[in-house]
Amino acid sequence: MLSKRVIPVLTILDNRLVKTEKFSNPIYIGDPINAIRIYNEKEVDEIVVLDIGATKNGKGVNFKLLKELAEECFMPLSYGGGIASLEDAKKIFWIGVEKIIIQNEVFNNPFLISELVRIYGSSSIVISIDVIYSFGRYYAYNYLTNSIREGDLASIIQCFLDLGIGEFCFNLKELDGTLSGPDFSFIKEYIEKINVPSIYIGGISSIRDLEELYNLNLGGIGIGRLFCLYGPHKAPLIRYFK
Amino acid sequence: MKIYVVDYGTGNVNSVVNMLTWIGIDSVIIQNPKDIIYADKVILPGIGSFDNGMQLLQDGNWIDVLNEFALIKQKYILGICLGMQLMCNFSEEGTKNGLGWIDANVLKFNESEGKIKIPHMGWNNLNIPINSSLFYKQDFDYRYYFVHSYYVELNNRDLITSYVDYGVNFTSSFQCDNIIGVQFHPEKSHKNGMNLFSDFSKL
Repeated sequence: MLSKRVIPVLTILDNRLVKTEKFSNPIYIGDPINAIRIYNEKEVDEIVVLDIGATKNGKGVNFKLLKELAEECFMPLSYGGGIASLEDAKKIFWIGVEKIIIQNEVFNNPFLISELVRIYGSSSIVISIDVIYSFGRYYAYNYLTNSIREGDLASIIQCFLDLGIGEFCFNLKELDGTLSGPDFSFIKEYIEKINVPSIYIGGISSIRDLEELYNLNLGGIGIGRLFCLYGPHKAPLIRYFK
Repeated sequence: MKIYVVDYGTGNVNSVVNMLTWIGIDSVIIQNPKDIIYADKVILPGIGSFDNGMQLLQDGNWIDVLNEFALIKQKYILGICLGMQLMCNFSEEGTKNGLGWIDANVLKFNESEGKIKIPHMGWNNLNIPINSSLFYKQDFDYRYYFVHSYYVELNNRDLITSYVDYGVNFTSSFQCDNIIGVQFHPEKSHKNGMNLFSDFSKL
């Protein structure tokens, strides 16, 4: 039977592993290569690495760091951050990354997505959507401008499905790094209705949350703070369980 | 003995090499088809769409040398994911002919069959119908990482060395003498992947 993937989500800023809260106040955790090595020893299902400064700071993809990370990874690795061209994608796959995650560029340049799907197939391309809840509705959020993206979220999702996307990654901004529990209504209203696998990220705080999520119709469970910071004082601790 | 990993322009060649290196197996990435004459064992990895893969094999002049390696010299070759699918006749994903080494077609998963999500993505367990050179342990949990939307349907079912239930029972690996294909990614499947590569290197 296909088991649900429990996925540590590593956020990187300026080559350092950090953890944010509601997408701000990054806390330094340590060296990302070291962290990947530990997750590898724990035989985690999959790893997601997001370089949260790559687009924002205009630096683009750090191929050198990515190569070092990939060398430590004997599990599937997805990478997102600063991918803006077919050439970027080609280099990233060659390095040894299985899936690329794109967010901002898909809204600027949907043509890139159809090209990526044509060349690399739908199963290698993940669309990431940051989500916020405002006045009773869910919206796609633009972290670069701190604003809501235009358009109805369900239509945005459908639009990417029409382009042949094989996986989504939904990151709920207000729950990021809060350990306040996952947003089950978002999962029911959106994720369960999508016929491709989706990773849910945001607020997961305990093994009980995980157990509840196992019963839902989603592909992967992405976990940040719970697997890298411990206790109310947020001590760095790389761990994994499922 | 060195394993030659074909870099034809698609695929995560470095993931394969990283794992081989980790378990102490000598390997080399080849980008020139002529280099294959030195090889005793080849891995054909692959990520991406069927037509793109065939086009790259064609443009890079790989097809003749691969045919010679697999069909005339009959040396061991392991196709991974798209690499496995390219060994077949044709795919519903595209319009090009495959290498045609194995009498099989590549079909798309049918969404309506058993409420499955496509791609088939994640860790799944193999069912082993017969002992084969790569899957021979009794009562062993052969668990591997999959990511694919199309699957191989063999005409000769005797070649199936493992299958997985995902809406349908699909072929997760086949072996026809020296030609081996696996749909999953051993290079991304922790110790089970290492064991498979190690067994392949000893064939």
